[in-house]
Amino acid sequence: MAERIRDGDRSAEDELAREFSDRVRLFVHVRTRDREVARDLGQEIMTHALTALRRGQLRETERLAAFVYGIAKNVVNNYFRRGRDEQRAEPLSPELVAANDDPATEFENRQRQALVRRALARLNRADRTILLLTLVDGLKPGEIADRLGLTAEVVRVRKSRAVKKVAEEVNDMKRNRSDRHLYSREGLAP
Amino acid sequence: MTCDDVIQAEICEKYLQGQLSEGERDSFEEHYFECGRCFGLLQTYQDMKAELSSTRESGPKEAPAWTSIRRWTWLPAAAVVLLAASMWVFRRPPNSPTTTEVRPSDPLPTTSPSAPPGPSLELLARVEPPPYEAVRLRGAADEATARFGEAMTQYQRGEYRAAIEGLREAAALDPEAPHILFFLGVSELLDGRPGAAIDDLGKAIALGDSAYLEEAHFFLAKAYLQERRIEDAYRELESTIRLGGEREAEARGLLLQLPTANPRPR
Repeated sequence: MAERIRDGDRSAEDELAREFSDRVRLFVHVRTRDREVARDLGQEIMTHALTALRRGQLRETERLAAFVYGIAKNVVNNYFRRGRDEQRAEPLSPELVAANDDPATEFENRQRQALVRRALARLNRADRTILLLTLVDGLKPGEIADRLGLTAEVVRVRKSRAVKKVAEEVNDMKRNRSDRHLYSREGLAP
Repeated sequence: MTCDDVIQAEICEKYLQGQLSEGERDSFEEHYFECGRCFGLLQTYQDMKAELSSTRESGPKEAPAWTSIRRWTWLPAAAVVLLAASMWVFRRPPNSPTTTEVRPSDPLPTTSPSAPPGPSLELLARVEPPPYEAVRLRGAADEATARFGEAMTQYQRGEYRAAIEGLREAAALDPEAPHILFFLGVSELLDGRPGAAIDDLGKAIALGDSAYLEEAHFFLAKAYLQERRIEDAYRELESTIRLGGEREAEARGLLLQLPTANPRPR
């Protein structure tokens, strides 16, 4: 992909955005805890990465992921160094904004969120409560156990089973949807 | 960092909570920039967090009114019962239809004239006691809790009749404690009193959501089987499956075998 971008292949640039935009945005969100900053800095990171790749600045092309990650870390470190008020300095070119706001990626994200919502709704309420106390309130199994009158071990087991169940259901639903999509595209009956 | 490390050490969860050391955090970030599978899992965690958070903001609070001691595990017993009840499935001739999963929305199995002989209703109605692990309480226990603790010592020794007396006293002191009603119902079932078990397990269920809800439906189904109230047993097994907990597989197994032991009433 890096070589194709250097050679001016626009489809490779789209691939880059699809592959890394979500990663970069999530990375910034976790580091800054700010969704708006994640969106703005995410675009800035992708811009830097694309510009560098167009200029052929990545010599070991198999290290593309590490290269993008390195840029992401630098941009976030600079953001903290220069203070949070000055961070939105460089306007992005329209084409890069478009690449970062890929509607297909947005659609996929919404689909995935809907799948997670459905999978969570299928859990029993006790397991949902354990997940809520863990993921939203940040409580440890021992604290949840005290609150719910269970053992820490039971909380750990129920939590990991619930996560596994959601992840598997989401993957199954994704697979089923992509199969249906494939069938419909090919004009075949599912 | 490997994919196995990510799963075993619950790295995604800790990452989103900011609970990793700087080194662990950097190492995981490097990993998920390369690894689609782990990034997919991380996204699922993030979506779960967002969804649960929005549910809390928009809806009623999730935390149930669990105020009592419910410290026990039930997995080993489930395995034993499932093994006994499912032996029939594995002993069927090779040309028999394979076991199929029953979804709550699927039509339930019915008896066909050529169905092989299955387990008896008595075998399906058999009950293994769910294990109970005693709790060491901080501070003084209230009277109901103290009576419950004494009764459960007898329960753990297999002295169900003696346990019933103590559990009844505890239930009278705290009639809204699902764990007391649940173990009272189970003890009655184990002591051969399915009628009383139906009453008390029904009361535990009527209290609403608790850590015992799924188990109570399951053991209520067993009580109905002992009373040969087949339609009621079907209903309770379906309720168990809908809750999607640890008894789900066992309840599905029973639903598959029940039609051959006793056809569903129409």
